[in-house]
Amino acid sequence: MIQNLQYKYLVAGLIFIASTLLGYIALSQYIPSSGKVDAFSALSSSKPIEKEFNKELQTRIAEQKLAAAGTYELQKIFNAPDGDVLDSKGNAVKLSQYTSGKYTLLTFFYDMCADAKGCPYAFTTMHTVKNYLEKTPALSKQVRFVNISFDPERDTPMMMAGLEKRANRNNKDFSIDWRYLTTKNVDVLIPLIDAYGQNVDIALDKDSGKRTMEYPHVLKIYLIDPKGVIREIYSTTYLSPEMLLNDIETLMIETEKGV
Amino acid sequence: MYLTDKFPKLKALTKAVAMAVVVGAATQMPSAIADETSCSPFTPLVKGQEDFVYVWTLGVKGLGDESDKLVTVDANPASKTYGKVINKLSVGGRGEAHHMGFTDDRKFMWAGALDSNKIFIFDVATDPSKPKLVKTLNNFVAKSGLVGPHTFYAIPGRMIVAALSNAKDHGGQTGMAIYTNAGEYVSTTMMPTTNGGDGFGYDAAINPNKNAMLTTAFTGWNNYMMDLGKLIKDKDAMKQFGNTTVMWDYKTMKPTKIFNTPGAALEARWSYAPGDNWAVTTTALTSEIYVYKQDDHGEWQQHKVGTIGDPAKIPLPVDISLVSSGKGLWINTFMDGTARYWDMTDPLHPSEVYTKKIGEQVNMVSPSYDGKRVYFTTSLLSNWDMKGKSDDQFLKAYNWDGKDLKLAFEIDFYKEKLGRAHHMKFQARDLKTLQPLQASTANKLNFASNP
Amino acid sequence: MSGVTKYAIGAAILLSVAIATVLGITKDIHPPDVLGLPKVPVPDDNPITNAKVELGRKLFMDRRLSHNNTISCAMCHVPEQAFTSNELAMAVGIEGRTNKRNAPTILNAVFYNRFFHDGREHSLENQVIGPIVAFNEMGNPSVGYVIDKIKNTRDYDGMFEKAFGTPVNLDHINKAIAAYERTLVSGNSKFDRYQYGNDKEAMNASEINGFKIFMGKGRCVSCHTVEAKVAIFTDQGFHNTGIGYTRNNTVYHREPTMPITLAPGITVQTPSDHFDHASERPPNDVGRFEVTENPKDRWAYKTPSLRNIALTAPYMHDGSLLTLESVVDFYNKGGEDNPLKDPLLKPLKLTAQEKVDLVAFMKALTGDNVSKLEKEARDAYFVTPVEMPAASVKEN
Repeated sequence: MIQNLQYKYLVAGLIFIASTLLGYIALSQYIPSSGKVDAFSALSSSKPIEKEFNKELQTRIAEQKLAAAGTYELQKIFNAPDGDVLDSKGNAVKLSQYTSGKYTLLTFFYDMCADAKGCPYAFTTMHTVKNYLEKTPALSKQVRFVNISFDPERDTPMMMAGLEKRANRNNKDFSIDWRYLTTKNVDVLIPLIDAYGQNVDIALDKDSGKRTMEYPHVLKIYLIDPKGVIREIYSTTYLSPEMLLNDIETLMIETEKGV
Repeated sequence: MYLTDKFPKLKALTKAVAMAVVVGAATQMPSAIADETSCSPFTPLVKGQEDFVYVWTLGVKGLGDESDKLVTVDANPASKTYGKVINKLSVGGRGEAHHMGFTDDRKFMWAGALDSNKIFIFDVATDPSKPKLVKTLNNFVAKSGLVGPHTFYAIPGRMIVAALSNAKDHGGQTGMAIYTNAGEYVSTTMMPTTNGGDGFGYDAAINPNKNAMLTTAFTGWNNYMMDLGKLIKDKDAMKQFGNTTVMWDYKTMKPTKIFNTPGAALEARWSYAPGDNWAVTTTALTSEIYVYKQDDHGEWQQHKVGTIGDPAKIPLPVDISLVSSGKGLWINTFMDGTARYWDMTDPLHPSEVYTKKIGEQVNMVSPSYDGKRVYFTTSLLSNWDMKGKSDDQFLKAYNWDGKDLKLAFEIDFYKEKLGRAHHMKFQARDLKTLQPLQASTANKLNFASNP
Repeated sequence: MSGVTKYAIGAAILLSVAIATVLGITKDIHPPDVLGLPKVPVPDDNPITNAKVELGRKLFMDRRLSHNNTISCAMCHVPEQAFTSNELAMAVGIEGRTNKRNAPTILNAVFYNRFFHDGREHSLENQVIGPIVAFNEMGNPSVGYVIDKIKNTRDYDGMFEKAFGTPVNLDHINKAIAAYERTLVSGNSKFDRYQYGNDKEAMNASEINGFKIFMGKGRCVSCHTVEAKVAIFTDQGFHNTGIGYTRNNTVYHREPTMPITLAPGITVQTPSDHFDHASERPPNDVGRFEVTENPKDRWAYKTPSLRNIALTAPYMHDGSLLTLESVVDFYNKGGEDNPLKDPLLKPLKLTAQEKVDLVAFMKALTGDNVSKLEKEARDAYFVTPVEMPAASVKEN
């Protein structure tokens, strides 16, 4: 079990580094040098940005066609459903304590997910959001991430503890609290994912008919406001760090304006 | 950014957003690839052989049980019941069954009725060969004030329901409602009536990569429910067709540009082929093809790119469907029952390369993802369909080799006492390898309800 | 429904009837005198009360009054369109079924002696149920069905009892809606203030000249009556102007092509038979003859009032004329010739200015309270309940 765990960390870590590198390589033609770009500071700390890159940056903003934060309203979709979950210490807790009081990004996942456009993509995106928000403690303090597993058999609290520790490893006291939660069993899990409208399949092996390790699903990330209302749902077809940040900012402006 | 100036605390965040854009480049956004029978890009697609074709069928007074029904046809050539109706599910009553759409996870299919305003939600995942009606929404008019739920378009966790009319006067002023996948009402956005908008609506289609939504404009209940011959002669009623299309900021649901598009633009389709970022529609009355593309400044522009048949004869171009490569467009003209294939390799200069008469009348066209199979149905609207002998009602499946349509199978919907064949959706799910996550005791069909 | 609930509802109804009586809700209302209009005729057996009007208005606006919950009286007599439909020549009924005539305005309908374009009914009360059970209007299968449906619709609980003292029945549905329609009177127009209100400034020169033509050279008044103290602009009679004759006979003599306007500024000449396969056979319409079976009445139709005429386009019994200008042109040429044409119709030889003035006069016939009546009707629509019954008749 322990070995397995470490192996997974290694794989996850490698995937993360590899995707980062790939991204950097893909981008590097536009970044002859960089100074302020510090998303991946280890890779791009000392090079000043040239005009070309600025152009590219503007193009990307234009391409995403995002309206300025605070100029639009996010729908009040439905109240974040409650349910019984286990925290990373194995304590039985109510999910609601993690879905109100802060701006929350919540997603269901399973650790074995290998769909590049699924959980790993969501993880990377959320990580980027976390890094940026934490540059401004006043903001990051108000934000929380929640991952809930839909593989309670394999994703035990102990597993969750490992993931949680890794996700929060560089945390300061103002950092985004990234919670990893799981459930006691499938019977507890089902009503929860049903309530969120997160459908999941169990993949069976074609020949043997036995369960594989896969849970094919259309990934969703829920943005929940401090009052516990779901205000946006993202899927990987429509997800980028800038959009998440823009929407969180919109909700913060809404709160400040006292709407 | 003036808003953030008032809230200095947020300035830092604004900066963060700008910076994060860099990362957007590193972690490529997954490109949306869609159009298997014109599905939302938020819905997973059937890319191989479709196993089933669902046909949303209008009940006909004096035929069979006279009710609207969902007909399931076996479309897999390897199956013993290939080309046969394997299930029919009557929903009771005649409500002007029209269009359908999957939820974002393709587990449920919503089907609307333009007259009764009912919305039926079918479970098409538990047993795709036998859809089950799990919920009927009766509150569309009461919640939204709209009439004629037309397009059902999946967005994450929700459905956009684009309507045709309203409950005040059955005219063409209308809007779009949003429901959660569980069938709970969220909000309504009215079609714009300022800056050149005329308030009419019909279809909605989204390009997530561009954060853009294109909507089109048809006509209200008075007209879509009226006998076609009577309508054509009613000069006042003929004024009540939409003459605009609207490009929206999908995220904010605000119009960004309103185009003058005379003659009722109907189906809106995006090409999601990699590198493509254009949309196409056709106008029912004026028989024109319009393409929407961004110019060098990123502004959406409308281009009139082609004319379908002889507009003076009003061929009534109805359903259109882009093939998944974006290089071909099927266009059906209702009045002459003809399917037309247009080469869209250059979307600004398309050309008609093939035509075939499918029947006395033809409305919907649905190509498979690989483009090799094309399905056609007949019904447009119960009171616009041909009368008497010309009133063919069928599903015809063809194989398409890029040059010719060859009939694979045909189902006569009148002979089988089904009704008028309208919208089609495909489903394929290998139950042997994929099972919904389901606890033994829990009933997967219980939707969440909005607290 | 449990016994206790039944008692509770019964008690609540009794209580509300009692309170209503005390508060005077059931007291008779006497419609106020309106400048230019006769006294509103109120039958002895259906005095107007607030409770009846409120109930009648609710019924009038309620889409559930049709078989499949889609059509109310107000879907064809749209409040915001002066209680007619400005967007249709001829009305469209349940499931889109064809109606062969234009929906007339309800405003001032109370002053007619006969109802419908062919005058087949003689009272507002009797008129009401016609469209409700007509196959091609609201499509209900029977009177009993309508009564059952209202009985099973909770938001009507107590309303009939309050208005009539007894539960819903056919007579009371008719009386409630008729009582509401008696409140849809609209006078005190510019013309009324000029003619009956001693306000010679109320109409401008063009309108005054139009009035003179109306009374004289235009011969309009020979059918659209104006009296010494009031004007309802109808002789309550039936006339063949040729519109009906022409429509029923041109079908067989049509041109090879017909113009169809597809969008503003885009008109095409389409082969006249192009839509034949997609058309039902247009219904025949012989007008008053369909009631009297008197051959002289073929293609004769009721003279409509001209009050609020500027708001009630399109015109004629089949909605075939879109503007007042085209109506004036039609009468200026003496209508459409046919063997049974009313001899009152003769070419008028009006000058262009006279036509303009005549139209200006007709536009001075708009009542002063139309928007108020519209709003009252729409408010009643919004208090109707939110959820449609799942089945047409819900069993409890």
